[in-house]
This record gives sequence, C-alpha cells and structure tokens, in this order.
Amino acid sequence: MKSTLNRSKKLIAAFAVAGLLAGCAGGADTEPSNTETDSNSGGELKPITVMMQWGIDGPEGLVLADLIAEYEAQTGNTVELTVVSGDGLDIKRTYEAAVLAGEEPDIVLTNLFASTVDWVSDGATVAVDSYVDEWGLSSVIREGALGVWDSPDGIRGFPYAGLQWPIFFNMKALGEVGIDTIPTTTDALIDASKKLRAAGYQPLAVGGNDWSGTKLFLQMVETYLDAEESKQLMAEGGFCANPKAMDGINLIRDLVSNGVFADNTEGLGYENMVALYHEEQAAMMYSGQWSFAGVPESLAKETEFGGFPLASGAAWSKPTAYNSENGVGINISQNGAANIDAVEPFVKLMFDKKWLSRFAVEASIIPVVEPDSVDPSGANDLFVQAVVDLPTRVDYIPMPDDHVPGDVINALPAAVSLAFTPGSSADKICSAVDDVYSSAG
Amino acid sequence: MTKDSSRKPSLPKSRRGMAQNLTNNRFKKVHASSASLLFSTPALAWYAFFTILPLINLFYLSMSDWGSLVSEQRFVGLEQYQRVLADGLFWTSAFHTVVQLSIAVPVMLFLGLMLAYYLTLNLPGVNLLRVLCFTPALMSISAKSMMFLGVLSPDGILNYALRSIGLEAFTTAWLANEKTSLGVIIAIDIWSGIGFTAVLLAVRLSGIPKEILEAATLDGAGHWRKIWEMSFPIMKDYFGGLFMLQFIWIASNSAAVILLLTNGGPGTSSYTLGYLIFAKAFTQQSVGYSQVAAVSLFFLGLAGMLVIRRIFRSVT
Repeated sequence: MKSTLNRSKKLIAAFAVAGLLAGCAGGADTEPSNTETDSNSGGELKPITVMMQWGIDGPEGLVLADLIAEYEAQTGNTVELTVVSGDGLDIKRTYEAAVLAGEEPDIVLTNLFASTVDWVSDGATVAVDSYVDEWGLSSVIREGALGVWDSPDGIRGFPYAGLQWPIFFNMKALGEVGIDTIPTTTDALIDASKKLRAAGYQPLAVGGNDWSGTKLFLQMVETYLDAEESKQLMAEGGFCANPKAMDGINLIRDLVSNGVFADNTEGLGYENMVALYHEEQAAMMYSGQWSFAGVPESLAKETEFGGFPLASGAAWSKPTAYNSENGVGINISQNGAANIDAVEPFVKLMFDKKWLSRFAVEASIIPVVEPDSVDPSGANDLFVQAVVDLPTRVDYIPMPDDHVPGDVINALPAAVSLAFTPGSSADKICSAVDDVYSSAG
Repeated sequence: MTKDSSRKPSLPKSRRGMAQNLTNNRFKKVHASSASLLFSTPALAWYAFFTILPLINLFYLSMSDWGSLVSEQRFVGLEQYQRVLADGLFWTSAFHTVVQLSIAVPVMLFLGLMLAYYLTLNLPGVNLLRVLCFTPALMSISAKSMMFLGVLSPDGILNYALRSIGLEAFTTAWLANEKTSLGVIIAIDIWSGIGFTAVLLAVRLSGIPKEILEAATLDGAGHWRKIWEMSFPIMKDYFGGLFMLQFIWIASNSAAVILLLTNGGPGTSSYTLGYLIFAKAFTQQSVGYSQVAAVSLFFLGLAGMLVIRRIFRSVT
C-alpha cells in the first residue's frame, strides 16, 4: 500500500506536522547559521574533543566524519573523535569516568537517559540556554524538543535527533500466509503468528533479554493505562498493585503462550533480533529508526511499519508506538564551556541545513528541528514511512526513558526477561519488576 | 684498703666472649631490622596508599548516599546499611554468592586433585593434557564468555548437540532460564579453574616421595586411597592455600562472567554480591549501595578464609 503522493512533499509536510504537534509552528523564519564567519571571530582555536556512540563506520559516523572534515577546513582547527560503542550505557560510564578525571571531552553526543538526566545538576555538563539563543538556534530547534531537554537547572543539551520505535512487518512473509495488511489487533497478531509458524517463520523477534524487550514489555503494560497512569506507574512502580498493569502483563503472557514471540525470546538480545529479521527468519521485529539504514535493500522494500497491535479493552484507539525527542543530543562539558569558541562553530555546523539534511537522508536521523531547517528529499523509504505514515497509524504513548527513574531502568531487563520466559506467572513477573523499584529506593 | 665498688666483677674468659657475641648479635639484629625497614618502607607505603587507604575509603563510601559517579556524595552513616540490609536483592545476591562458593570451590579442588594425580602418573598423552588443562587460564574473561555464549545460547552448540541425539526436551535458553542461569555460572567457574588448579596441585604431588606411594601400592592401596589417604594428608596445607586462593578469586571475579552472560538475570536468579557491586555502581546509579555490598563481600571473604583455615587445621 504505497502512497502515490510525491515523497519529498510528504516528508516536508510531515516535518511541518511534527513541528505543529510540538507546538512551535511560529518560528518559521529560520536562517542557516554562517559558521565560517562566526568561527573566525576569535583568535587561534584550541582543538575540540568529541565523544559519540555512533559507530565510526555506520551511516551516522560517516556523515559526521564529513562534517568534521568541513569543520576543520573552515576553522583550521582539529577535532579529536572518541567512539564509545555499546548499549548506550558505555558512553555514559566512559564520560563520567572522564569527568572524574577532569579529562572529559568538550562535546558528548548521547541521549537523555538514566544518569544523563542529572548531568547538568551534577556539574558534568553545562546548561546551554544562553548558547541556544546567542547562536540563533532557538529558531532552528523545535520548541517542544527544547522543552523535553529543559530542566530546573536549564536546557541540558542541544536536542538533535528524535526517535520512532515501530514494529517492522515483513509483508512478503505475511503475504505468503495470506495476510495482506498489518495486524492491528492482538487477535489478528496471534492468528498471523500461528500461520507464520506453520509456514516456518518465527513471528515477532525482540531482544527479550535486553533493553529492547524491556521497552516492548512496558509498551504492552501501557495498553490498558491512560497517559497519566502510565507515567505514574513507570515513575513509581507498583505493578502488582495496579490492576490495569496486571492486565497488560497477562496480555504478554497470553501472547507468549500463543507463540507470538520468536523461540527462546527470553535468551535473545537486540543483535539476535536484528539478525532474525534481516535473515528473514522472523517476520516481525521491534526496532527503531536507528536501524533503518541497516535493513537489506530487498527486505526494506517489503517492510511496513505499524504500532503494537491493540488488545480489546485497551485505553488507546490505535496500535501503540513510542516516539521521542531525546534520541540524541549535543551535550557540552565544563571543558567544552572553557573552549566554547571552538565548540560554537561545530555545534552550528551540526544544525546547518546541509548537515541536518545529510543526517536525515543518509543516516535516517530524525532531526528535531523546524520543517524548513532540513531537506529530507532523497531519504529512504523506511525513513519516509516512519515520518509520514507511521504517525497516522499509531497512538504515541509515554516513553519510558522520560519517566522510569535512571537507577531503575538499567536493572529492568533482567527482571523483564521473565515476562518472555514460558511458564512465568504474572505475579512473579510483576514482583520481579516491583523489586527493582524497591531496591532502587 | 677500700674495695672499689664501681669495679664490675670479672667474668670468666669464655663468658666474656659469649657476652660480646650477644652484644654483637643484638647490634647486628637492630642493624638488620633497620635496614630491612628502610628497604621495605617504599613497599609498605605503596601498600598503605593503594590498599589500606582505599579500604578505609570503601567503608566511608558505604556510609554515603551517592548516586552516579558524577553526582554529589552525602554522608548518611549507618542509614545506608539499614536501607541495603532491608533490600531483598542484597540477600538474594548474598545467598547466591554463598551457593556459588560452596559448590564451585570444593568441586574444583576435589576434581582438580584427582586430575592432578592423573597428570603425575605420566601416562601417554599427559603432556598434551597438561597444556589443555592450562588453556582456560590463558583465556581472557571476555573470550571465555563469548565462547560460552556460543555454546549456551538458544541456538548454541549445547542445544544443537541435545537435539541431534534426540534430547530436544532438555534444550533451553541456558543463560536465560532462571532454573539454570546460576548453575551455568558455577559450571563456568569450575571449568575455568579446574585445569589450572590441577596443574598447580600436580606440582606439589610430584614432590611427594615416590617410595611412599610405591609402598602403598605394595600394600594393596588403590588410586582413591593413594590420593585421599596418602597424598592429601601430606599436602593438605598446600591444598588449603589453593582452596583459599580459588575462594577469593571466584568471590571477587566471577562478576565479569555474569555481566557478560546473564546480567544477573533472568529476574535476579544469577545476581551475586560481586555482580551487585558492579550493577549498583555502574548501571543503577547507586554507588553508595554498591559499596555496602563491597564491604559485605569483604567480610564474607574474611569469614570464608577463617573457616577454610580452620578446616584445614583440624585436618592436621
């Protein structure tokens, strides 16, 4: 079911809608920053250090490498890049250790998650409110995104990329078992799973043993909760005492017992999940926009996005999905603040329309900027779907990263893996999750 | 004629020489101890700076409310201990640690001694076996973990082997099944240490006079008796020392394997105190809590060593 509208127009329209949804339609008169002029205003610049979690050979890393080359050509300054790959926690640990040693990089590109939330109040990074205004970025970055990154201590970093977290459906595999549309109810999902298994496919792949499984668990728990109830539950715990949360956990158990998830999901990690989908052993997977660029071309053509199918009695009207404006941000350290003359042109370059567009088109980054600050023409089909089609198919529900306490969220995967283990009772699962909250105090 | 009272009574010549020797010896001892103190001072200073001070700091930090590494510390005293001791996760981890140590160390040493005895028999292929025994000790923890990930993952070698011999019913996600996860960690501990232990024990076994074992053979003693009733009593102090080393090693270092293979899960089924220290400090933003766990592990280790020492003393 491919739309016949012009893709570029759809994308631009989608960014406009995203801007409106974020409540910031007013700031339309953005001007691309003139990094060359600004950067040469001072004397000789001190080299800057940048830490990031994007792989250097991945699509984001390749674009960033070109950007760094341009920065160095424009300013005559050099950039020392440190890559800390891993599950997102590694870069935080590495950065925090560097802070303790007083050797932190000037800039760290990471998401707003776990301990990062308190970096400004802990003095590990600086608030960027004044830079946002002085560098003219308040008219580029969406106001809603700035709101997400705001805190009582100030704006915690420059919001750069958002995320979309759909279910990937391999329509070719579904078509082979006589299903032509994305399942939108859990009954349809169970039916599809049985047919897929009979045809030799694993149904829905997810990393039941890591953060991806935790996100899907919470998404399913949110099925029967409204937004405020979800936020409160995720912030405070109390799953066992919450009948609606228990309904969500029972739903998961029902799906597990009906074979919806791939075999041995409780032992799978994110990489296993991706491998199962990419090798077309599994017909569905649960991943985000960061993985769009890695989907094999032939499979990408067959992939459609949807939300997690809706159960009867759910609090939402459409299948659910997560989105967020805290996917990646540009954080400035104390060392960066001391080297701000060199940092400024780098940050401005990151928000230059040319580079925002390249990140969007080549690396499927979803910039959290005003619609006219990015030109997504040429973006791949999956990116288009995620930005244009997905919002019409799903209800976006509260994102755990924004509500689950930092000392809880990283301990959840071990507890949540029980939810995907055959034979675990709902009581046992909710107790394990509540224990994580109580242990965190 | 007055008697010179200040004059000391003269000693016989031989006694005088002895006294002189004693004085010289005392001087030499003082001199030697001063010299040894002088030479050992850098080492003692190093030890104090890098061991004693961090240990004191550990106790101080365990009484601090401290979230992530970069957050502010607040001294709360024993309140922190009250909080941790009231947490079920702490007791679960402590219980798993006791189970792990109670199984892994004795089994490793028991099998290690048997293997060591086999190595000393000098049968064909024993040199190859000696190399194989030592191989796990040469592997890094991450390499070992990757290897076991390949063996124990749902589509790993173990399940493949079980399926191929018709035992599909016994296949499971070994690392993600709460009934097997801790057992798997213990098995990896044993596998990692048994060969190394055997090689070390074989060195000591080969030092036992052959005549003793030959005499035992003539008296009709079998291998079992020669190991446990002849060799073991002779080398019990060495065995006890190795027991202690493996106890400390597993208590403090198996956390890395847990981190790489199970993350303490599923649920809390493979949490140990060693892993709890890591998890609370580096992933769950509770450095103060982790230091309480570290203090607990310290005392558990101390208690364990005293018990081991006592056991091997009583054997004497």
